Amino acid sequence: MHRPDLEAELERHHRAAFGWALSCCGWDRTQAEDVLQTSYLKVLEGRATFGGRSAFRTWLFGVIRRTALEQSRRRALLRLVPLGTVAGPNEPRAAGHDPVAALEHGETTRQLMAALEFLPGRQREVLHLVFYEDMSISQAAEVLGLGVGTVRTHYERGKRRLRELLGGRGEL
Amino acid sequence: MTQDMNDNDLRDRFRVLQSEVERTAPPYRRPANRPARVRLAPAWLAAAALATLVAGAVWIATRNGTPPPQTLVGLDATWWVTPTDFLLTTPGTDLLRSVPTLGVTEGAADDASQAVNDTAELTERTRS
Repeated sequence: MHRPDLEAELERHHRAAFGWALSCCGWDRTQAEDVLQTSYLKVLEGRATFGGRSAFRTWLFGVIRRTALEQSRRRALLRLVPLGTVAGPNEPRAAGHDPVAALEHGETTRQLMAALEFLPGRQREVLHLVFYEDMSISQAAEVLGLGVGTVRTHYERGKRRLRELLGGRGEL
Repeated sequence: MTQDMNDNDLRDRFRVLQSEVERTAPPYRRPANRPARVRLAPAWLAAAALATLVAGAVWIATRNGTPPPQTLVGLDATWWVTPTDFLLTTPGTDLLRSVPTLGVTEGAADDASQAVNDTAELTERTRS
């Protein structure tokens, strides 16, 4: 795929990619924009090559996820703070980080984001890909590099837990 | 919110989140190209490392192959007799130096008598 085609594809999926980057970065907008730019550079410079084995969006989301993980690890090393307080996309969020307050949202969204914070990373990612990005279970499995059965399990458990959180807690 | 909330309700909640996020999403902008890094291919790195190793090995081999300068010292210069060397010569030294042979008595008896005579002679000489 040539550079103009790549750029056209990136632009077409930019909004969805931004939402996914936000999710991977714990809803930290600055980090998400940084991850997104780094991912785009990887794609345009050929450091991440689209092989055509899956949909472009699925592949791009995988690149974004890996980039977010890399940057999370790098930040953890650079800060030299207790490693447990720096969370990657698959780990529980740091205690001091308040993603809900980072963006201004309505009450419904605020409750959903607060509930998502209580979910394990994998469940959160699967639910985001399926409900937010409208992906199928198999597409989500491709993005996460997991088996379809595993992703389905995360999906079912995540839904059940999210319902408990949204229904049981009321005000989160 | 009830426990029997179905998937559509969850989907609706995510839709609201999506619309709010996308409303504030930054526009797509072409990422600025970073200056190209000078990157060595792994093959070049391996070749450079190999060349360095070979050069080092050759240098070490060459250095060890050159014989160190030697100083020749004659054996005469190392031969030295202490002034008290005569004290080490004791009576019957010859007996102690020789090894008796089992089963041969003739020569041994003669040697023993000769040694006794020598000792007596030496004692006399000392007295006189």
